[in-house]
Amino acid sequence: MTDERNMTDMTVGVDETVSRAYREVANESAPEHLNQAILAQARKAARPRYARLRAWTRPLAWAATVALSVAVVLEVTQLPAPDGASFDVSTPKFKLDEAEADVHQDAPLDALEEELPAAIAPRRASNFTPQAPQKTGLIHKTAAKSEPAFEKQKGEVSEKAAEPASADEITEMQYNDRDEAVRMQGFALSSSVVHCTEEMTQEPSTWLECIEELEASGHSDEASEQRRLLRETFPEFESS
Amino acid sequence: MVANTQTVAAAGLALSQATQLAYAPIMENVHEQGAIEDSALMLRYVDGDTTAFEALYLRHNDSLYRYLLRLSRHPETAEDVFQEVWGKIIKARANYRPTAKFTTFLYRVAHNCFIDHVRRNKRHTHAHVFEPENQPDPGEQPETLAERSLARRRLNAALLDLPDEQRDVFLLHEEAGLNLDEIASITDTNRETTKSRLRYAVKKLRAAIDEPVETS
Repeated sequence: MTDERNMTDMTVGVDETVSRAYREVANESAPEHLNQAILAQARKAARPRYARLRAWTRPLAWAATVALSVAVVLEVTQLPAPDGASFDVSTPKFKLDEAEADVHQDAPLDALEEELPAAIAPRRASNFTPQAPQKTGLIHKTAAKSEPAFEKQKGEVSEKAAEPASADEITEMQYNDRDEAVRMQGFALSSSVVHCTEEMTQEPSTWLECIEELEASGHSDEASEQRRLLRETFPEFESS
Repeated sequence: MVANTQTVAAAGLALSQATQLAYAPIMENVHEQGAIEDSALMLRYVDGDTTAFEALYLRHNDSLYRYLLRLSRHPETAEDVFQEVWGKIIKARANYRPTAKFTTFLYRVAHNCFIDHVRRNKRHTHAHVFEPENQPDPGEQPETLAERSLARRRLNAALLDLPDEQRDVFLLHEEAGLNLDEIASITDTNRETTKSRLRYAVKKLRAAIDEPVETS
């Protein structure tokens, strides 16, 4: 049945005369411009995706590199000159100048730590916190900055913070904030004075330990002075 | 007149040779891949082998163009649909599955594209009707030339006069070489209807060819 059906199918459309006549008539070809367009479309579609990306990633990388380089050069050349009053971060100074004669020996460190960030925070967008010197069991650190000078600086900071900042000021603040933070940190460090308390000086051994601590922490002048006092007070005590 | 015809024929032959030269590298590839089935070529193209697509395209481009040209009876419509068909084949290559003959797949897309095109715009019903210009064989005698020319004109006229469904079935049979079941699946009809349409189409064309030449 299937074979018969197939045979019938084959004979239905077969007419050699018609087919030959049709072949003679139908000799058109697809237009050349269509061939070119379709083959080009096929090639373009078959191109891997990364190849298409690669075509523009290299110029983009070059452009980005050049733009970044120009931006860095402009940034460096247009930075304001360092402020002369600013402190050198790498070598903080601990000298006591004449203005620091009026020291508050008993001002506790905790109070300083609370006041200083509070004074700096309103003007600073960053989370910079001044690093206070470490407190040890033997050395008692106190604020040495004179009260009027500290209050003056604190007042300036608060006054500036209270004013609404313009766009230029904000930009300037961004440049100057780091310097000011360093300045305030230096201020905090330089305003600390270390000395040996009376309790420590009762015993030569504890006094000597205090002196060694002073030397170790870089307070060599103070340590020399304390060592001289130790020799005067306890001439019979021999330090190693 | 005969000399003029021979000149035109020679020019056509030269153009054909130039086209063959232009496509020589691709055709070599086609001959190399002649034994490869259409589905395998399509799968190779899916994997990114553009030479496989070129071979596949050159196998089917002319027959598909003729199918669309005679189905639509308008060169502009045929070109639009032809480009649309191949564009769809290229775009849908990732979804291609060789479950049927590639020819069936190609002509199903072409048939559907043509139907959509007719629905979208009615241009083909008003535009200039296609009239093929057959190039005569330069070696033919004038009498033979005239008879054959007349037979061709009759066949063309009969073909263009066929109802759309019968012409579609006949062209799918002649150009795509599809059998009744494949044509039925493409035209969304049953097998008997397809068989009947094809039989009527062939009968009418045969009658047009066999019509005796009127002598004046």
